[in-house]
Amino acid sequence: MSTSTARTPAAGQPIPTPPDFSVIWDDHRDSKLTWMTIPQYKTPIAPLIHAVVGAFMVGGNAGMEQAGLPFEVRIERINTYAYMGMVPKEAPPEAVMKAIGLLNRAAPGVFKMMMSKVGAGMSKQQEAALNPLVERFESYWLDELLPEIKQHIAYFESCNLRGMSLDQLRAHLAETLKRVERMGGLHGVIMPMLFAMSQFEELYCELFEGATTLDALRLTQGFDNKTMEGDRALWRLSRAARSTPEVREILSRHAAGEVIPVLEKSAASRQFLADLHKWLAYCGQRLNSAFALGESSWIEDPTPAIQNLQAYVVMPDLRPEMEPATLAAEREKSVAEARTKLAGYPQPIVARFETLLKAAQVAAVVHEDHNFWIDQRLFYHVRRVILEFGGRLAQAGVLDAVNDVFCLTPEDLQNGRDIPMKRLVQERKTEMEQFSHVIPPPMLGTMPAFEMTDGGSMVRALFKGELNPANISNSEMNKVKGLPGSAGVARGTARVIHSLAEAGKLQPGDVLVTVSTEPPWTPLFATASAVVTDGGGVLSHSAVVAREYRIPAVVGTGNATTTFEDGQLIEVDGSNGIVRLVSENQQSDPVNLQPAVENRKSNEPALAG
Amino acid sequence: MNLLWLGDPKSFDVSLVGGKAAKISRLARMYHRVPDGFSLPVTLMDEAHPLELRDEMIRAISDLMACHNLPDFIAAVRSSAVDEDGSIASFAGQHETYLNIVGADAIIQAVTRCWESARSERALEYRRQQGLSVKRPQLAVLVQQLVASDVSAVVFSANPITGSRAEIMINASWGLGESIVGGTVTPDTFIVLKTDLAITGRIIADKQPMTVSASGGTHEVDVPRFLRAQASLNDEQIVEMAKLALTLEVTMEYPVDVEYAYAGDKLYLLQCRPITTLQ
Repeated sequence: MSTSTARTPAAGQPIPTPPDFSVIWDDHRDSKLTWMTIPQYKTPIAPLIHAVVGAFMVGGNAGMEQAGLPFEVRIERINTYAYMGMVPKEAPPEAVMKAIGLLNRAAPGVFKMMMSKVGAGMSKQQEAALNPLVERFESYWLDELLPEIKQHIAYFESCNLRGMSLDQLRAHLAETLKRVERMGGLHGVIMPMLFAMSQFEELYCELFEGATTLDALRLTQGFDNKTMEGDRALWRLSRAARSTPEVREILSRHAAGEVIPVLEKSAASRQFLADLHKWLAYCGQRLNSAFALGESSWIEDPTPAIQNLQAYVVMPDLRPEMEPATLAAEREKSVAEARTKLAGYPQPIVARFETLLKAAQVAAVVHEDHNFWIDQRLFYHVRRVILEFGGRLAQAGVLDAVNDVFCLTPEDLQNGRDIPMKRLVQERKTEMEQFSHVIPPPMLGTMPAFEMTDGGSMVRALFKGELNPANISNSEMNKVKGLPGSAGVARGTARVIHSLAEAGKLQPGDVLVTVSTEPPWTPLFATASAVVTDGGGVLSHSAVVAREYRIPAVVGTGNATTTFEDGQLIEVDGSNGIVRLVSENQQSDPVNLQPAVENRKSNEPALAG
Repeated sequence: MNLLWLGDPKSFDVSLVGGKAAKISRLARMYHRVPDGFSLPVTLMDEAHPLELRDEMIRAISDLMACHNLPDFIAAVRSSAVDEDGSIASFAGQHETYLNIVGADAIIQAVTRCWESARSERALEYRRQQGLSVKRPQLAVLVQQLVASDVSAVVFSANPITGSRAEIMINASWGLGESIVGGTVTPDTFIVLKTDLAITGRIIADKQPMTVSASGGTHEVDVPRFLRAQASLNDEQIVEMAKLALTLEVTMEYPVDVEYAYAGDKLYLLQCRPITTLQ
């Protein structure tokens, strides 16, 4: 940890920048806003990726508007790093802001009271805006959003990139960015799904004394979704591999990168290889994380899929958690119990419960399916467009390498040959290289004039879901507290994984420890005995998927990845949100599957009985 | 047949079914939507043959279920004292109430408890003090459908606060009536003018507790937040209640204190007494 002693500037004051990160603002008004780093971008972002991400995020403001939030998000590339700024839609006059800031310092008590009133007002406003959507959430998704999302994907699938002239490709790039922005909008207006889940969870906990959030979310589990569908198909592939000695042998003996060429030479592996290609064609349209446009898709490089198969193939057959029926039975039992308890309750309560239950159940599916369609497929196609451009330019000798295209802006690409592209690429590469050695300050611009005590229920839902780490000081050595993400207790060897490239070290029964999991990581959940994340909440992706996999999860710990090290034996108590060190340097032993299997059993609530 | 149905003229006889059941029986005759049920007359207290009683109970329950198209008969079992004359408002062992009782055996058990408490030492002592017979304490028991009310209300056909006889006052809240009657909840208040049934007053309270049926009894729980500040009655319901209170006042010829329940869109009349506190 750095021992920075820089004092936080007061509200409304400029934030000083370190000498190696001085900022020249293109528009001086931007210096009055607060800019924050984005957790996903710890390294410099290439200009073209910034353009795509920026378009997507700007589109996402549609979601802010829907929730009645009075600000917009902008993504700026500052000194090669991506920063997110919250821009008030109608900024109050500077004098008002100053007065508010003054009141905050002079009479914090009065200020707090005022802000909580503002917050409550916003909360009411958001609920009024979002409740109608929650009430018809299924048709909202199935009849309004999903068809348009599929239509955009179908458009990309129908484009014959190879057949386009360079001019056509330029027009197509502009069209692509337009559609990225629209998809960002569609992604933004799906966010009421978090609101639906959190409204349901809050009502459930109110109605049933002693009930936890995890109890509530059990009523939404076990519906088929695109994530589990793809993951189970990969698991079934591993069963086929296990029963074909040649395939099993190849998977066990060879490094992930060599597996496919070796399979191609083996006659006995033909069927398996065909099935694997079929899986990749459908599920491989994903990047290693949503915006990792600079990295290969799984179709280009199937290593992550192979690594998962290598981990799966040594695992025994009995995997009840891979059967949706188990989860569905558990869910239906909980739903029936809740309905019995509510039988004598006033009708408006029963009706509200049923409405929110339905919305939350649909939302749990949308939570995964929107990833499949937007976060994975869309960006897979965008990468293809960019690579086609890069390929053409490299072929024409305008660029040295295909991937250099990422260092250009859409404007550069539209302007064509008159620009010294190679020089631009070189300059930008150098700049990114230089800044890669600098730690970007977490905040730039001006400190917010005041802090919102409560941004309303949508913000609350978001915070419960995706953004915040639990604000718990994890001072205790060898123990970390977070939020319960998925119930159960499991022990396993810690594997701290920062990117999918490191995922190969996760062995069956290990505990996956990471900052936050990205949608394409989910097949790892079949290998892991538990999941621990620094970020996220109970509605975050890691927690939702862990529940579907019936493995314990502790999320929002803030510091698990820096507390635990590879090889330590740790215990994850997902029900209470606690992770603790059991012993140092547990030897990794991929053959010893017993503990993992037992953990899974202990995690199952007593269904029989 | 030992059991006496509500609305049956035989059930108007206070000496047979007790004061409470006789009154409700008359209401059932006048206004048909009183939760249906039957009385176990005083004679059964000493003479009931357990097996016969059980058979009859089972038959009565299945009749009720068929008649009202109920999936289940959920009962309120209440003692109905014979020598209760209104002036002695209540005394020990004569005011037992068991709510949310399901099935013949559970009902018989509740009835037995009512009888036992009437024979209890405490009840007998009270009777001695009141100069009543201690040899044969007489108690009837009323078994009535427990309506799963969405909203319960207490309605006065006069304003008990201002004393105005031109107004009707309605107190209403979520769930069963116990939280209103017991005073644990601050209910919504509506004032209706008798002359034209105009709603002239409306105070929507933050209604925190409510009583609901829960496994073999009732339970006071928190009203979920989304519902607390919502009006428990709409205008149509307010007017329907006011109209019925007016009719009852005219029939009874005195200002009435009425208990109501709404279940779905059906208004049930539960109790009707004279207002005792009016100046």
